[in-house]
Amino acid sequence: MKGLIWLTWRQHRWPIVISAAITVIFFVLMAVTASDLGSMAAKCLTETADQCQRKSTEAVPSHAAYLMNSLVFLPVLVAVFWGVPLLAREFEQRTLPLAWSQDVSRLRWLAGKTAVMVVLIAAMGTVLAAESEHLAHQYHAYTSDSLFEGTQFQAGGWLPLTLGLAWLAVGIAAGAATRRVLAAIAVVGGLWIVRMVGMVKLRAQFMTPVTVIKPFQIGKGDRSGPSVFTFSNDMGINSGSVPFVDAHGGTHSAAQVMDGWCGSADDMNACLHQHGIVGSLIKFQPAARMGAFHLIENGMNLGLFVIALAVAWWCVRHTRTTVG
Amino acid sequence: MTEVAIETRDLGKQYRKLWALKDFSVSLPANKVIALVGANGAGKSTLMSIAAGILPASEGEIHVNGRVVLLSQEKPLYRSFRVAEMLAFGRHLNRTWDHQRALTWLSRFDIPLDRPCGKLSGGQQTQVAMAVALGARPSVLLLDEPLANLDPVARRDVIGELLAEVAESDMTVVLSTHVVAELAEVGDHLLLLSQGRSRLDGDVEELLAQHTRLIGPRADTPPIEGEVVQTQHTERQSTFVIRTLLGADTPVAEPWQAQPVTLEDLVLAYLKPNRSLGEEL
Repeated sequence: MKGLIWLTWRQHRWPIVISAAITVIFFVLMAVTASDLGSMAAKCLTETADQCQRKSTEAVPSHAAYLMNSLVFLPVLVAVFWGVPLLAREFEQRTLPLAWSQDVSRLRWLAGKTAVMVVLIAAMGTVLAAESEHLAHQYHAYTSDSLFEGTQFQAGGWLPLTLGLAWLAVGIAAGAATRRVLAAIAVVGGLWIVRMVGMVKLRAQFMTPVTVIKPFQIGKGDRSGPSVFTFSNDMGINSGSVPFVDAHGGTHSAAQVMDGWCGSADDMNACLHQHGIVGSLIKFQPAARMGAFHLIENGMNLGLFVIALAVAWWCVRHTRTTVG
Repeated sequence: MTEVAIETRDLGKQYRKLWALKDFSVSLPANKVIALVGANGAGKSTLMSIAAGILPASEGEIHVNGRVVLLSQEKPLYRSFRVAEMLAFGRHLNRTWDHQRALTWLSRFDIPLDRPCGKLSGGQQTQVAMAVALGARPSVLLLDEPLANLDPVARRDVIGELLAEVAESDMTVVLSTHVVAELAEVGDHLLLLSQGRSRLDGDVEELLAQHTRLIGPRADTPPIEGEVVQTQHTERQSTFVIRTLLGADTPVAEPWQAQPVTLEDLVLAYLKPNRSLGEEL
């Protein structure tokens, strides 16, 4: 194993060094930003809501969002610069017969080099995932944006760690299957886009969403009951197009109600009342499920990790290194 | 009894419908230089890859006595590695490693240790690949046409040094080539492949002593009994290469003449009976 550690370091030292540097830089930036957000959130407790609201447009929260967004994309760079070259570059440079004709078998060679990379990515991923979780919480404390949505969700729950491992394996598998660096990068890029688009749709369906009717407050003092949920850490499913509900349980699109029936109405409440609208239908995943959702997505990432490594293993096992 | 380096029994390798090796049974002696000869596609690389354990056989058995190292025709090296790092690679990835042996080989050919392999000439890269192969202290060193890109002088030097290594150790070298001309100064033992099968297998001296070229007037059959290997006719003259017990010492009646054959003649006679002598396979 010592020999394979040396070989992996010698062949991949630049990606390793650069990744370690990126890890340190990201960690420091996230820690500083999280600290600033924490201080600002603490000060907000002593200020009025308006004063605090104004500050949410300041640069610090946007830095935090930018850092978390960037972090979410690091796994694809792991796939391209760590995973793909492991086999594809050796295929291109025809060095596999050299590597595999020493005393180390081809499968042990693959297992050893992969293990070294997995350990390194796991170490860097652990550092980044821990700090990104911290940053996401501080971001939430200051902006009140849900931890269950978008980048905050992907930055938390150790997802950066499992995503990094999964895409390391995807890169290795793509290199093993295509045997060409550029082709493997294209495959990784395509799969990444599929994953990004697919997960946005899929993530919301991990569990059946909770559906509630949020009643309108029609008229001053007419409070039709306490709100049954808050948005603090929920995941809104239909936030962009919440339909209206009438007294008979029928739903009507926002466009139909706001543009059609009540588009020119002076008194919106009266118009809604006139058309029997009693509230809006809201679907969401409650905050209590966030841990389970992180668990599911981590499980999917680790499943992808295992499947991709199995593909690479199969490809290496069935590679011919000579011609007759 | 002679120790065996490589033994095969009914070995076969199939690529889809094509058999690269078929019913291949040989016993190659240890501590010899074995010339593995055959035209392109005869199955030499396949045999070596199976012997090296990097290609599974489709059928049959193969047994290699001791550690085996294969140096292929492409002589792959990590281009970004310095020569010294290539030796470190060999040291790290082999259970047995003779650093001094590898260094000695490189110093014989004045190869700079601090230069990246990608900046060496083709001949120098061959020497680095040879040093890594020899440093692993193989019992059987399989050389799959590794000298193909060397000029004749360099090739002679490498072969000379290689023979010295064999003499100083108990190593067996299997040297695959399709350049018949380089055989004469190399092999103790000849294994000739044709279309995936063993065509001729034996000690070079014994094989040469068992064959003769008969030249005489035009005739359909040679004047003595034996296995006819090659037949060539002109309008007034016939030439036969035959295998007999006494070879060139076989008595023949006038006007026939019996001549000894060279190793090159012998190989060409078996592989391409109608080809001109001296031609590469």
